[in-house]
Amino acid sequence: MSSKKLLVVEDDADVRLGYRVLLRAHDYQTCFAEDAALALSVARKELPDLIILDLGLPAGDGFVVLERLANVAELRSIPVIVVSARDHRINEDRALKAGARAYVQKPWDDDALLALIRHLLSQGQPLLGP
Amino acid sequence: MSPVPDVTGVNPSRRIRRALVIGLILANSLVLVLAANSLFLSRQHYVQRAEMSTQNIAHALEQNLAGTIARIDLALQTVVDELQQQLRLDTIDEASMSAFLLLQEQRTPEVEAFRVARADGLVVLGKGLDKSARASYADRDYFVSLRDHPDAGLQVSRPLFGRVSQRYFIGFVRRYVHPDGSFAGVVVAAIPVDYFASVLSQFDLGPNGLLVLRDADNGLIARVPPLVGLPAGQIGNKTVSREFQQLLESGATTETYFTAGTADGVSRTLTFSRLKGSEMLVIAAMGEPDYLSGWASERYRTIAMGLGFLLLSFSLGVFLFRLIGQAERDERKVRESKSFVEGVVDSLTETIAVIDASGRVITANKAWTDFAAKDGKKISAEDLVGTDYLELWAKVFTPAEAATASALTAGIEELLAGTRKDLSLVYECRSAAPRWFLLSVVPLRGSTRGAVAVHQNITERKVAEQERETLREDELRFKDEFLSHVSHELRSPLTAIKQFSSILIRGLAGMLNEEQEQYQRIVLKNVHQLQAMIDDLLEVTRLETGKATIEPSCVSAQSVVVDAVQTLELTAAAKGVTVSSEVAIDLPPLYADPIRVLQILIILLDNAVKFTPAGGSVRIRGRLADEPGFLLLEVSDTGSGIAPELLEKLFERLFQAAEQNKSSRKGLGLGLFICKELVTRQGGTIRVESTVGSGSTFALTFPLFSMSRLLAPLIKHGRWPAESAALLTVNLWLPGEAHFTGPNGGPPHEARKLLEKCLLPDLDLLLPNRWSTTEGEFFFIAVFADDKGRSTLSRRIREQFQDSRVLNSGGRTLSLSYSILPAFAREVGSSTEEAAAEMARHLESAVRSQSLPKDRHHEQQETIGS
Repeated sequence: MSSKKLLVVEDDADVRLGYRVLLRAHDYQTCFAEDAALALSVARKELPDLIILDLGLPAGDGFVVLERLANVAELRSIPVIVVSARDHRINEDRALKAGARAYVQKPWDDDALLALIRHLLSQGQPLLGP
Repeated sequence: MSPVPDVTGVNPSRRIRRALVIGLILANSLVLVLAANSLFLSRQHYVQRAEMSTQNIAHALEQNLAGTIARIDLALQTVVDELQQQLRLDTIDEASMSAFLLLQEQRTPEVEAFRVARADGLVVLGKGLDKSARASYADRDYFVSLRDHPDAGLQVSRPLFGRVSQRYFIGFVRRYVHPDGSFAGVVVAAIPVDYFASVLSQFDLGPNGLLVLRDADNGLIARVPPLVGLPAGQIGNKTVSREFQQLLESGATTETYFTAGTADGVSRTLTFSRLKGSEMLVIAAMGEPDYLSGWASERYRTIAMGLGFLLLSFSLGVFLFRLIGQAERDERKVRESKSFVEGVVDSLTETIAVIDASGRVITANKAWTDFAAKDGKKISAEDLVGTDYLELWAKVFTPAEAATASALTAGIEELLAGTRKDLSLVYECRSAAPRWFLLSVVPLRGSTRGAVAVHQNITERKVAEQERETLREDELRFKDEFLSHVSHELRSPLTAIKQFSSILIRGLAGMLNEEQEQYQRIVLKNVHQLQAMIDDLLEVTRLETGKATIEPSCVSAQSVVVDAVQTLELTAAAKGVTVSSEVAIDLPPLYADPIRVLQILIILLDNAVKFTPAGGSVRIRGRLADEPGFLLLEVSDTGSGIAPELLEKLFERLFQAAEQNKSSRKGLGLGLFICKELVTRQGGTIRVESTVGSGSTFALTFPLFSMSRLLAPLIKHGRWPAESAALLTVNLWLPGEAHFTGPNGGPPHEARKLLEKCLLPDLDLLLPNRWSTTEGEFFFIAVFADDKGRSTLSRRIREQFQDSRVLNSGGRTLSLSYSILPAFAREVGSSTEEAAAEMARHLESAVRSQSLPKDRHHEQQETIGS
């Protein structure tokens, strides 16, 4: 089984480390981006199977990333889990409309997150067109 | 304030005063003149009476004396005749003559003695005659006069002092002649002056009256009353008053006159008369003091009356002056108070207008005219009087402000008609800058019927209000943003803490020994606590600022209870507390937000577990509430219970109860507050009963789902044509997708939002029921439209789904199907509730008749309430 690649877009270094430890322990490959701009370029380069996107990014928030992802052909279909500390009720709709597949609030429950990742990854086969 | 015209003229009081003074003076003068005149006339009258009296008396006296004199003369002539007779017989017989004389004396008692004298004057006969004395009358005037004048008749002598009798006498003398006619002598009848005095005394002319007899030469004969001690009172004295003197010189024989120059000083009115023949003078006089005494008292009376009148008129004058002064003062007071009131009313910044019962302006204050002037319309107060108030306002308002104008007009008319007690209207007047006014109209009190309209410029107040409102909104927004920001910030470090604690516990950084693991669990537990606190805080803020979303729908009590119990199973088990639920499957669904209901139940269960010691139990029960239309959920525990005095405060914010078990989690104390808010906002109630030591029970009620209640608002509009009701079934088919709703509804939620966007709120209703199966989601919409409307709706829904990223991915398909409901007529007269109930029934049967696939994963069948 090829392990899936997950892109985590998160500005907080500690939180990134936490992601890495957790995800790697569950046999996922990880790559990271610290801000919106890097997110795009890393995504294009790595073509992850799933993106975990923190909305509270510097220099353009996560919604910008979502938009940009939607505009790029090969990136459009990657499932995105949006993570935010912000009030989910306000942001959830917007995120989902913008193309995210799920919304998770910080701090999350690790088991729930892992299950969600599993679900989304299993859903994605085969990758479907526009 | 102008208009009630001022009636007082210029200083009328001064005119009145002048008139009054003049009038009084005139009256008094008139009275004075009349009195004087009357007094004068009266005096004249008195004087005339006195004159008449004196005249009468003089006349009577005259008569008397004339008679006496005549008698005396007769006697005298008798003696003369006798003498002359005897002479004819040669000599006078003295004896018989004496006897004759005596006889005559007896017959004429006035005469004291008759005496006869010879031609040589020797007295030869008479009473008491002493021949030896050889008295002679030769030297007497009358003797000489008679001797020399053969034609002389009676002569009256002046008063003579009798040598014999030592008294004064008046002698009445006649001559007798020898037969040859030669002088033979005289006969004298001596009348004592006292006789005349006594005659005079018979008459009474008052205390100061005077009767005087004078001889032919004005010598005094007798005076009654006698004047003693003064020469003028002596017999023979010829002193008379000047006036008398003048009259005598003028030759008058009888006259009435007045003199003040009398001998005794008493002013008198006198009448004198000269006796014919004897030429004696009788004078009858009345003393002025006597005859004017009556007049004097009259004079006093008159003067007293005059003074009285003067005093009266003076007092009257003073009184009237006082009255005038008082009236002036009163008027001044009234004027002052009137101008004071006017001043007050004109000082107000509010415009005041008083209108009568027909809406015409009676008066307006200065503020109004100023206001009108400011707006460019030159209006004076007088112009306003009589104008129609409502017309005025019609002119003020622009067409854009028609609503305000009509409200104002209607309100005022109602108030004038009496159907309204008062009117208060806040309106905006669009001029250069927006201005706000408060119009208050109240009925006019007092005798005049009408109303008083007061306009207050409340722009400042309103602006301040708006600013406060804005400020409050800003504050709320700030608070909201602040808390949002705070929570965001707090959650971030919390994330890292949780992550690594979790990592350590999972052994992803190496195995932990027991102790280490224990400590990490403690950390994790506290992180969860912190998380819960932040969540609670955010929830409360959202509730406060109105941002809390509550989306009621049809909720199965059983399913939500099951979810809640599942959530807390582990925690309860860890503590050794058993959790059980008793909720019948066939309970009718509630109408509430399932997320919120779950939230509430979790809070309550969490508390229950927290406060129940190991070995205890927590139970949720669900049944129909006693109150119709509600469902009851009870969460009871066998915990420590709550003290009665704390029961009230339980649902307040930040209330925290002391716990016996210190290891239990603490919180912010917001949980029950949140519960209460959420329950009440969904139309339910929450109550608690507790006994210290045995446990507590929290009882929640939620309204039962009722389709007709849902439909009722739409039927009220009455725009639903009865024939075109249909049920639209929307099937969102998700091939192969495991049912996963996600934390907040996910695609189905999105679908609902989308569908709602397509619906017209007055005509369509998205039913809260839905079926979720592995085949997809089914949604139901009650549609009230005709054919065209229905196809429009279908098209719109498809378009929306096409555009949606969330829903239009992963091979989802959308199918729409209409089933037309049987026509039902809304009966005339049926209530909204009845119509809604009937509609509900029709919809239910329509839904039931849809052949819906059975759900394998969820046993719950969402039933349609009634």
